[in-house]
Amino acid sequence: MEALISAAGTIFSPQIIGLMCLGTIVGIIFGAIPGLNTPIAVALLLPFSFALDTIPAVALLIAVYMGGISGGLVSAILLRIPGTAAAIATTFDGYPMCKKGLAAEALAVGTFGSFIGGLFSAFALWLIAPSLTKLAIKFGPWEYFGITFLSLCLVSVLMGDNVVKGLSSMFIGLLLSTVGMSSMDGVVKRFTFGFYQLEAGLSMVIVIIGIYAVPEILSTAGKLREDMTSANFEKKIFYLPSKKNMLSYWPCIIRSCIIGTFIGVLPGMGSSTGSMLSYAAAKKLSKHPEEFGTGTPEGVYATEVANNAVTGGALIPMLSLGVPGDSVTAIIMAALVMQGITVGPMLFTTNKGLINTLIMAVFVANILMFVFQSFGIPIFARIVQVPRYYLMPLIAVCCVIGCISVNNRIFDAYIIIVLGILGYALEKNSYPLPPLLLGFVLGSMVEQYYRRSLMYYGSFWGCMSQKGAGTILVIVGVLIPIVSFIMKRMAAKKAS
Amino acid sequence: MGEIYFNLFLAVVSVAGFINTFSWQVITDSSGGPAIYPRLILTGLFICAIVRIFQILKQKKEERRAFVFLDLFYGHRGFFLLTLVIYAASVTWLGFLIATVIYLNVVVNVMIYFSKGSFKADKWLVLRIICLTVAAYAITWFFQSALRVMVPTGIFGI
Repeated sequence: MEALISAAGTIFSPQIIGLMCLGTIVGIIFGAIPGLNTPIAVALLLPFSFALDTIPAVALLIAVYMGGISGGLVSAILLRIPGTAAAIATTFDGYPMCKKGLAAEALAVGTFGSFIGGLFSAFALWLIAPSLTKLAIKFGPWEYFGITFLSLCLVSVLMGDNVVKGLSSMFIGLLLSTVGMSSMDGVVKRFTFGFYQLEAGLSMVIVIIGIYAVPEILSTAGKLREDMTSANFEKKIFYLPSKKNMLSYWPCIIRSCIIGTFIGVLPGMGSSTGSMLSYAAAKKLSKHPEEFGTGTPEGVYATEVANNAVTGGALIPMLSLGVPGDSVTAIIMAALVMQGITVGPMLFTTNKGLINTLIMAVFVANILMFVFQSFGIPIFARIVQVPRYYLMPLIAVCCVIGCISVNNRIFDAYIIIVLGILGYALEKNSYPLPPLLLGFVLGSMVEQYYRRSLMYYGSFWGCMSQKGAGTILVIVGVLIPIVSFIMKRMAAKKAS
Repeated sequence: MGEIYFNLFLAVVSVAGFINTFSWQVITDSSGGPAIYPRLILTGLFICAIVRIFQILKQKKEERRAFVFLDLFYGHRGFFLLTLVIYAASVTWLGFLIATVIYLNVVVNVMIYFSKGSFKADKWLVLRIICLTVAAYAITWFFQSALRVMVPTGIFGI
């Protein structure tokens, strides 16, 4: 505790706090604009951080990271365009809340949820980093396959009324994830049709923009004469969720914290997986699952708490093992290495002061994110009042330039238009989009871990004969859709 | 009927994709090679498409919902989609800045016309054109100078 107080003394210097304020604001802006994302923001500030000492440099990058992950909720809620992959699931209930005229409340719920998730993960980083790392070390390809397979099976919870439509959507997402070089072999070009631009596969940013943003823009273009959504917010400076929304969802919040932190600890899983899993679990365990997708604060909490809980979790393997949990932590690790710090198990014993300061930076970054975002809500909420004929073309321009910025080529802009047409056809005909995106996010991981497991244990049955978490997760994954289907049939029979 | 065609399209895509996997380089390892996973997915997609077609055929005619797709290609949506395609195509040879200035001014003004039905009483036209041009310049500057994105400069080099 004393060590943390001393770390607080270091962090609360005018220089570091000023840098963290700047980092948080940059992160929120990059997270909120479709096409920009947190890795771009962190990478942009990385050269700037070289001129700073170790602690200010890392504090700045951590602030961008925290701000960026929660900034994604702004466009997800107001425009149904997730600013980051982590905010995909936030659109499911955040946007319906906005449509009901509760934009400010949805933003407040999301911001508060992000704050709690971030704080929880900082506590996790402080208290259980070494033990969580030991657990993560024991995970082999079969266990990772188990988690990704379970996540995919939980898609059945997000499928809506028609399971076949949901499955079609999921298979399309999985198929999109196979485009490009096979990640395991690195030589076989799959579904590239002679386009070298497809050899590296489809980028997550491009798929999100194509499947979510473009159909939404096209759909809105046909509703120019409809009344605009009311922002419906009170005139106050600092926004918090209503008392009811703050106090009613604690079981969901705590569960989402745990899911998010655990997923964060597993390298490569990412905040989008964490938030999707948490949303699916929240829907499955909620007293009112029928309200999910119609604009319930519980859905916003489930995703926003989890995706921010991932951030602290993702720092755990980076600091303790030298294995970054996602692309942003990889850049932060690069910054530490540039500063002459060797990350890994020894860091916790040789440089405890730095670890404590980093943990304190996570705490402070979350507080700053909460403050700035809560102050910003009245400004953000006004976006829905901007006439559509201004907003939609400007978003289209941001989408196109956002795509160009991913690989510095115009080809990706054509891809988003093609995906946009596909997304429009699916969405307008009640083929749910969440399974498609989850399929895309998890597709390459499922393949990689499955094939690695087969190589390791020889055959599928060789894998299944392993006594451990992997096999249990696979069995649970198989059982979930079956049980869900049987329960739906029983409920339908009862109703008739 | 539209949804049946859509699912037939998905079924054809799955079959074509499945056949395509046999043209890939064969790498034999104990995991089944790079084609095994796409084949599993394509099989799943094919089955779903066929099951969905049967589901639709089993429905009574009055229960069937019209397949919404073609409205994307006419009216306001058609205009927006067409301009987006032209914009994306023109960015390479006109350059991002010029293409964006033209795109924003054309689309915003036409969409205002669509929503209000007239330009006649529009005293803000000149100011709007100036603001949209400044917005296009600001976006270009931000990505080009601040984010170091190599935005296309086109034949004019701007």
